[in-house]
Amino acid sequence: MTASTAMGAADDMKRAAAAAWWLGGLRAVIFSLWFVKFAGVSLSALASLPADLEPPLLLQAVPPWAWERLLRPPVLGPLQASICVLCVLAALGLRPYCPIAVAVASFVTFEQGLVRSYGYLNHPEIFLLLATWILAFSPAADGFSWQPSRSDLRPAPVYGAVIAFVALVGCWTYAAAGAYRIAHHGLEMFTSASMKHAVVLNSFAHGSGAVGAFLLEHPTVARWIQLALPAATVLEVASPLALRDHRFRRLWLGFLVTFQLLTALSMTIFFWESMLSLGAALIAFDRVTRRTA
Amino acid sequence: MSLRRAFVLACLLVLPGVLLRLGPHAHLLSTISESATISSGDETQQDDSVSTAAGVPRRLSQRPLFLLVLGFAVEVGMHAALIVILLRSVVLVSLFSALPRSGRMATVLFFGALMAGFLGGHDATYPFVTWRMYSGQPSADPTVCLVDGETRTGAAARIDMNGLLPALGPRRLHHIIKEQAEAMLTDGTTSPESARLRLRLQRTLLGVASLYNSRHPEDPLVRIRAALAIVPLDVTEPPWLRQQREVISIDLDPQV
Repeated sequence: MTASTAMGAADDMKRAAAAAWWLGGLRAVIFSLWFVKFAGVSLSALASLPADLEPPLLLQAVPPWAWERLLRPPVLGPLQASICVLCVLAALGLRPYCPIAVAVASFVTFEQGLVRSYGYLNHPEIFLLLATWILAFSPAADGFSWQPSRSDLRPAPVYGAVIAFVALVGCWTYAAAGAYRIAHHGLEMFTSASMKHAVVLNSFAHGSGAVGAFLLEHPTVARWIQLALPAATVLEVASPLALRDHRFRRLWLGFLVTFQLLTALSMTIFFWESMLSLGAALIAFDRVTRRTA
Repeated sequence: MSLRRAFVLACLLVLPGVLLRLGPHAHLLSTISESATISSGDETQQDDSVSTAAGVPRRLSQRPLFLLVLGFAVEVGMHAALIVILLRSVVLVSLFSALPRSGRMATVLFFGALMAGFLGGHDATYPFVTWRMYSGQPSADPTVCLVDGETRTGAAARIDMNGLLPALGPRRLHHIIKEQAEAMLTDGTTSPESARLRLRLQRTLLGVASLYNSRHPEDPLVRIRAALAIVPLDVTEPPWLRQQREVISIDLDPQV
């Protein structure tokens, strides 16, 4: 083996270890977010509500009579405890990683589907859920883990591809929302008072009503907010391009944080899970592609 | 990747979504004069939400069919264009090429399911669903659901539904009660369906009261009430909540 070949192999190894570290970091963020979500709530409280469920197809395998038995504190309590423990194990990257991560993904898919069977479907945790499934079937515990595996590292682009796919899925959730809005309500973005409607409704229904009252008192401000919608929509549609250009990626990360904070302040809608997980994926993608380039 | 190959792959990736979206409405496409299709199930416009039971929209949009078809074509075109742009990225293609064959297949299948959800998904296809937010303006002014009560000491209690049941996620409990209350008001008859709606709302509010009382055993609720109010968008001074209508009021036994 020549010296240059050996140096090349060492460089490849170094790059692979770095990429595995970033993918492991993303894994730690995603599973920690689930832990934070579950540790702070009491699933048993769901038993207080009548079991008038309309489960999605995925959960319709559970027969209707079984829901009454499932939705009891003796079942929901241990379910929550199991999810919390498994989330910690997966966040640490303990082995056997794949079965642990698949168990977490299955549990959270069930739990999130269960929650969405009450009333309506919303989106805050959907990207986190999809990212969990992607990471469960990837070598995400090869780096940044309690038991890192140095011996069987894959080539750096393999880790990079997983990070890229997570980021791609996250970006596309924004692109899909923007594309639908442009395609079906393109003109209404300018001519309607959809943002005023949304802010007022959410402010009075879920907040103190102060922001809604302010907009009602100041129609000019409401008009300006409406005009911000097309600009935000263009950035939403362009979100997958953050994977192509690193300058746009930085701009888009700024937009992501600003957009989520503004909707939290004005409408009490805060997709913090989506913001943190997609932010982490884009930062990891940025670091890995710069190293492997 | 060549432009032609990228275009073909993009078309294949959006095809399941197109079929999923058009499938349930195929009969409408044959009757051009008719104008009806899916309304926007929207995060912020919950009045337009779609039925979860059968996965079939409860409300039908009144926009002309050609506008709906055109809109859908533009939506599909935008997704396809984005896919082509990304498939032409050297960095991304080199990353995904490094995956083993099974990994590439899984990636394509996952992304195809994701696109199918974006274009033709609904509540029942969870977790592959549509993402429609802040899209268009509902025809009616915002309606707010108020849930309050009276405690044993006679104090008025405004119930914070987000804090009461965090496991359900923010806003969902409010939405459930609002939907049930609106359905009851809309029905407004003495039919068995109305009785069923009333019973359902009653059971939900009893659950809410029980949760509230478990957190405030020193001063539990003796009455719980749900009301709907409208916030007209054209008013510029208070009162902001108008046309308040009480939907249901339940007396509770604080011993229970």
